Amino acid sequence: MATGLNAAQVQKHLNPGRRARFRLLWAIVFVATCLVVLCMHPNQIAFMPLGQVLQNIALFLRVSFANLFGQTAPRVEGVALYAESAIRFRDTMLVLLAGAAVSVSGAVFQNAMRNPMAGPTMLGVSSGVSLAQVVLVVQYSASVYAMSATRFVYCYAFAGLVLLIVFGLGKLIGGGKNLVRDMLLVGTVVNRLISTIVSYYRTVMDADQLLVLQNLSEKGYDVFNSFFNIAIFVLVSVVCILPLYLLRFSMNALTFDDEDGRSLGVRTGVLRFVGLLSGSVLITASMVHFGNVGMLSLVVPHLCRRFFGAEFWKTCRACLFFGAFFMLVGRGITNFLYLANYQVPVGMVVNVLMAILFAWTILSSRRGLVSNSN
Amino acid sequence: MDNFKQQEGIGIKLELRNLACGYDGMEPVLQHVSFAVDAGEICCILGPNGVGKTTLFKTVLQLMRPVEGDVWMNGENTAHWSPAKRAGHMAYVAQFHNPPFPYKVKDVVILGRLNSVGYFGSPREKDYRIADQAMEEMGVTHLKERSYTDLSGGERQLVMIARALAQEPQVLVMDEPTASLDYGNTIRVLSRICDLRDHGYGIIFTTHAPDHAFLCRANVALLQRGRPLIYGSAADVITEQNLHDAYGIHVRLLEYRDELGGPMRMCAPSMIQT
Repeated sequence: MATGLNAAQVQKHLNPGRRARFRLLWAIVFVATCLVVLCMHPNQIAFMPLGQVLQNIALFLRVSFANLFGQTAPRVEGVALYAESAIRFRDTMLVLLAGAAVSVSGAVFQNAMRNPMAGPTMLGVSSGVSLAQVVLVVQYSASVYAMSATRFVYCYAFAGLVLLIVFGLGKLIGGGKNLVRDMLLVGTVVNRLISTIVSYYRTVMDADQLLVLQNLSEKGYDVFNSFFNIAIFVLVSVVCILPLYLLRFSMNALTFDDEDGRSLGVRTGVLRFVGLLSGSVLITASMVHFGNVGMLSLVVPHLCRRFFGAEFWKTCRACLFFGAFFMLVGRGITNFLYLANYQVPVGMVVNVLMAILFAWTILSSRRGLVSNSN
Repeated sequence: MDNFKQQEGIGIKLELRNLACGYDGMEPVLQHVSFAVDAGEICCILGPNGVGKTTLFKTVLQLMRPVEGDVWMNGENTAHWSPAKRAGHMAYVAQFHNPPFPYKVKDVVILGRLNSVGYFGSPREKDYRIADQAMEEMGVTHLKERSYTDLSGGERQLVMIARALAQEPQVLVMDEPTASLDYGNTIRVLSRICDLRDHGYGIIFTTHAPDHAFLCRANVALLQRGRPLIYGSAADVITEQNLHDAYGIHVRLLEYRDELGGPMRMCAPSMIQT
């Protein structure tokens, strides 16, 4: 692959001083984009005053923490643009978290499976979440909107159950000799099976139930836009990313083959298990708390590896940043995108954006190969 | 190299004691394999395709359990060693290494410090210094910032040997280090292997070319199907009869003098095989 050539070229030209300026520039772009998205009025090219928005966000945080710890919350009645600011802030936080979580999940899966096309949905956890959402809608219909805790329990439990089934059957089939391959095979079958069940229920659901299901799966960030939702998402993300951070150097051993990794003195099976588990929980959290953003997990790690090198933690760090950034851009775009009076889900816009970026990555890699051979 | 200085005066010895290698539930591929490699020695493993050279290596490195026998290192049985302890004594250079991602050469070499850094650690200044020394030793410092996947076969091999050196092992185990290399790169890699031997490393490598054993003035372990292992100096083991028995071809051995006037041999296979 010629993709590494770009990283080497980029790094060659980026001496430490330039590198610091490059990072500062991206930080400024990121913060500016955040502020633009936070201050946008819905469905119009107009902005709320930045100072007012920041004050409202600070107030919102004080209110949320006060409610969380059972203390007396400050008054918010009569505060200009408070509701809009608070909704925008929660929305933006969820978008940032989802982008970071999905991208890191993709990077971890690609590393653990030594395959740049691997994705966190391969082991069937996303199907588990989809099935849980179908069960919730069939049982509770629109009442599910008011049942955050129940929704979390169902989705995480179904995802965990699918992971256990895939792991168990994978181990049973091959005796653990080629566990990753066997888990992938079982995961493919489980994905297909669950997709069939979900498709069946989609065809027999009435229009109201279908709308609820769509909101759960595509626009969870909009429907469950609460501080509690964000808090759980942050907690789960930190719990998953922490072991990856602690094992950041060892995880590189997975990218050579298992025997090579073991000869370096590490138990590659343990590392792979931690990686796959963390990645699976991250993608589950993103689907539960936000919604579906499939392509981010494939494309962002590719791009980050291309420009920042393939070293595990460098890739993950870049994925955290750029995954969040692309989602933020998507959120900004959806502010103006409505179809049949419904706002287009952020996930859809980001998937289109990722498809364009992926095509560009492939085309420019091929151009690099051609120019190298000439 | 620091590693050599640490080992000065301390004899390292890798011993294979009546080793039998094979896969679970199948007939052993190799049996009654016994030989030793000391510090400052090269052992060249020769044998026809499928005789079990790679299986032997995997067993020595405990990547596979021995069917019978033991591998001893410095008087200690390695059967119950942890992977980290084993990596601190033996380093492996595989025949094929094709990572799916474009790691930089310096990131590949620093992985050799894994067993020292531990699961939860990160390389420190000392580790980077050792990795830099290893790259310098193998003459690949100029490739440091290059992508590993963009290198030629010979360059990759040298980088992998540098990674093995970064582990600070006592013994290097190399599976066909010159496979798929052109003639020039083959000689360069063999030359580096000889340098490492002179620095006090014990080295085992497999090759399909008996001439390599002569060039490196190595000891030879000749594996043959259905016959016991033959072990000894290259001059004693690589004979016309033994080569015929092992490979089923007629080979003449020619003698010449090297650049220092020392006696050398080379193989001249006959193209008329009857």
